Amino acid sequence: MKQKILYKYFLILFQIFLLSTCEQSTSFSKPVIENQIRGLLNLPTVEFVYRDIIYVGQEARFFGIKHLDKKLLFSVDLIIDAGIDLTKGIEIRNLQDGGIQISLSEPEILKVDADEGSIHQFFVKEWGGKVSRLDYYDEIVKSKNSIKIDAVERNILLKAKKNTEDIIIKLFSVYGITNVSFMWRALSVR
Amino acid sequence: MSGKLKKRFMKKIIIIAIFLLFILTAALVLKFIIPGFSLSIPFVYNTRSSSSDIILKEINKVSTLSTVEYIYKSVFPFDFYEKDTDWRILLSKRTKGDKLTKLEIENLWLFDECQTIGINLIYQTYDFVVITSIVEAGMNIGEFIDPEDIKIEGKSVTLRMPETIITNFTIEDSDSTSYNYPDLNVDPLNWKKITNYVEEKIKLKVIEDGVLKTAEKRGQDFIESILIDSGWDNIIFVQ
Repeated sequence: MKQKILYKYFLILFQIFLLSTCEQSTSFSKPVIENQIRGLLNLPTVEFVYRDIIYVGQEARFFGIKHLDKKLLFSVDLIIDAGIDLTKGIEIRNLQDGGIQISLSEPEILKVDADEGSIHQFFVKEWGGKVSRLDYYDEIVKSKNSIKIDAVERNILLKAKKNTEDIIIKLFSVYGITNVSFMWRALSVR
Repeated sequence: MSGKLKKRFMKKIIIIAIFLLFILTAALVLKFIIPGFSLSIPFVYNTRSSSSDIILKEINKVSTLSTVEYIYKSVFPFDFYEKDTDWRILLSKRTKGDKLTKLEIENLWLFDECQTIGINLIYQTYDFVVITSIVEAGMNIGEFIDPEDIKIEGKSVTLRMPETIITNFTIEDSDSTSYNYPDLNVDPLNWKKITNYVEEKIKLKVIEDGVLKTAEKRGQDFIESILIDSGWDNIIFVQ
């Protein structure tokens, strides 16, 4: 009888010993990790730099006689940023299987900026009409819209999503959490 | 085994068991009383990271985010010669057989190539071809930071960053749907000659325009953001 009690006591103590030798995974606090995510995603996750070439060509004839021939060729640098709009919120949920689910709004184009100081003119031909300062700016606005489309075709939004997922997964791995899933909220149509 | 021997054997077992129990209990008491006392045993992993290891992990998080993609359009031939180049003087030097500099030889090659595709540089010309190249720049992962590149003093971290390099360069093929400029008749052979000629020059031009600096700044911004969020006060980057 005594031996049985001793044996049981020994087993229990041994189990406690084994459990106490295992290191617990670092616990994390949601506000801290949310701040870290915010801090990182505050910066655009993808940036494309463009040197665009803008050409304006205008020709007009009257009874076969050319009376207008305007040609303009210049380059301008533009920067386009894509990432997550953090004002749309981040949600971090603990899942039943021990994983984490992050809910974020879909990546979007955050900024398209033209550097007007970078304008370089290759040639201008003003026959029958002048090229005005506004002509330049109108063309730059058109260029901003077209590079937005071009950047989307070059998968800027997909790259932004992938980079966002990568960075959050790596952030959680520091806390020993590898099961991280994402829920992407569709952007509302304005 | 006789009863006497069996009893003696059992007695020994009990003494050993009590001894083991005593050690286990003592170890457990120490574990809970003394902070930092570890019960590491060979088959249970217990890793402790130093500050520089943690910083390395943090930097690893942002290494891919430093990449900058540069969609660089250049205009052939205007982007590839100086505006004040005097073609007549150059041509006469060649005719006379004068010694030419490397730049003059390149300019004459450009002049001849333009003649082939129908552009005469001696006169004011409005003909051109737009070449689109994709340049990617980012941290040189091959020579990534190791713990020796990190110096910690109090709450201040000094980092020697890996250099930023051009990681990818391609010249895009244009088709009639994506080419929004007046078309010029260039056959595939001449097109290849032109793109071969401009490739190195475009690389040098984008470096001159600061693509590497942009990638470096982007990497530094991310690293600074993540380290300051992790509780460091001052981040210094050195080359």
